[in-house]
Amino acid sequence: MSRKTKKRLLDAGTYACLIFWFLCIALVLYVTVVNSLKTQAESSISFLTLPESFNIQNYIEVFHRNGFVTAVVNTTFFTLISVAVVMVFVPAVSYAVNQTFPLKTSKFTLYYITAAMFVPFQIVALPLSMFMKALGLGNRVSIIIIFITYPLIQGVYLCNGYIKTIPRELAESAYVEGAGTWKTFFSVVYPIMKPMTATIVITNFLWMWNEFLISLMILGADKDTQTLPLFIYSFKGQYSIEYNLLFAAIVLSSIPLTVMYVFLQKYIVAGLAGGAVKG
Amino acid sequence: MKRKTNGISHKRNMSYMPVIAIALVLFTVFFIIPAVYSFYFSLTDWNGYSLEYNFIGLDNFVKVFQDTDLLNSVKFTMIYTVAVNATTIPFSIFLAVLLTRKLRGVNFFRSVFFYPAIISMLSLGLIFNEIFRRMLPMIGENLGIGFLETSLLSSKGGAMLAVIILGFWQNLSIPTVLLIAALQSVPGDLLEAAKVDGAGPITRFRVVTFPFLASTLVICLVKGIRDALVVFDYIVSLTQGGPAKATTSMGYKIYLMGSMDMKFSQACATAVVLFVIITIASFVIMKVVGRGGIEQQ
Repeated sequence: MSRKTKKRLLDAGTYACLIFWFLCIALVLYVTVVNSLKTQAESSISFLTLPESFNIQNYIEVFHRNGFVTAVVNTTFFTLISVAVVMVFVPAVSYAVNQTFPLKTSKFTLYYITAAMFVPFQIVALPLSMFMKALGLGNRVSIIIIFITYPLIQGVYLCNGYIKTIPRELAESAYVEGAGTWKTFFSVVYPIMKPMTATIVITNFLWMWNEFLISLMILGADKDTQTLPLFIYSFKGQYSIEYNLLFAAIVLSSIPLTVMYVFLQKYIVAGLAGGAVKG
Repeated sequence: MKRKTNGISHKRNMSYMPVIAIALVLFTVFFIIPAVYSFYFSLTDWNGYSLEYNFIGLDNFVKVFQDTDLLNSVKFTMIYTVAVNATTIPFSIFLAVLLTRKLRGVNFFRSVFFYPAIISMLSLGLIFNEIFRRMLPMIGENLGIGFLETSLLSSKGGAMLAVIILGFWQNLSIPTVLLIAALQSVPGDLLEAAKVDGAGPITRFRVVTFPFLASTLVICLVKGIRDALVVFDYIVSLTQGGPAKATTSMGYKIYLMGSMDMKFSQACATAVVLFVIITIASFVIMKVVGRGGIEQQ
């Protein structure tokens, strides 16, 4: 076999494998979208055929269902507020730890917080929900506090590694020129940390938007503070026969992240890849 | 009093302290204290509601390995963890190798293959539930394919397989992306040199490429095993632990015991066991797989 045919065969094999896995992914997405546009009568004949007419009746129905709009508003509110705080808070804590490093307080802070990477959420979840109720902060504040606190665990670890690569002289010269400690941070260090901040924003945005277990434990069955994942979950329980509506609700709740993915793909891939590096 | 200093004035060090203090307070109050409570209650017989409780030593921990339901949840969690990681890791290496070949359209495949990582686990569980419960049996009936006619979710083994399929489907994406980055860090001239020396493609991969992947594989495995051990969303949405509790994972069992079955202290003890398993597994992987790799960066 000549070299050329060998390469051609290899290329064909590569494409065959890639297309196979592409179809495995596409099939699941196709089934979800197509059935969200069908009536139940159509779906019960076949899940795979295209709808006779693209009717968006299911989507309108989901919008009118009790709680959907509230859930969208809640999820958006919790996610945006928390991400906005995390975006500044995590780098600032990491910077403070880095600057004061050999001091006992900062050493302790670093190991104390990052050691929690090994702790599964289940160990915290049950007492936490009781504890939150006992504190009486209310559901909204409780969930936002948790969304702000937990990103520290991975974030401080990642940022600390990143700040170490920034030459200390850079911040030092700004400080000598008379900028205060925090002014130095915001004008010199924070802009340099942008790639790491982006990683932290992206991983936490995805986490907060899709988060289920914490919300289930803290928010429970409270309709007013329900998030999208909880809405979809309750939807399933209440109307389990109306799977076309369920598909429509899932599609609707995935639209924001999907749009983000289409436009910010490069950053999201890099962010999630960077965020996974924590072993 | 002489302190260890970092060559920065006391006043300046102090200006950083408020931020550190806020972080410490938040983390202690909302993470460490609940975690400590879990350890504490794991030694008691508290049901979560009663006013009184007794210390019962390690009884709850013994039960994790004696109680049939609990032991089954430990077993299922182990099977799921091993099955998902034993499939995703080799397949992601394979896909990453394909995706780093210089071919047309590779970027398109990369972006599609990564998409599952951003969909919520809960939504995917519900989608796969419809696929296994309704779509496949329907296709089976229409085409007269016998084995498809009964839903995978109706038998114990089938339901376990269904959860593993879903885990594989979604968890292939992140290792693939990480491994693509690692593969791109392998120096081309090193591969070229090995080729000149007469090494075949498999030898080249084993001797030259693999050492560059080792540290990434550690990350993928630690993350993969951790995520699999705490699996919860998939179970809630795909099987609800059934049939006959065959797919009740430890994560799901902890939730059920803590918030439904009035077995709060038993739930805490199970969570502690889960914590110990994760910690041991992570350290073993870092020691075993981490050795023999080339440190990157």
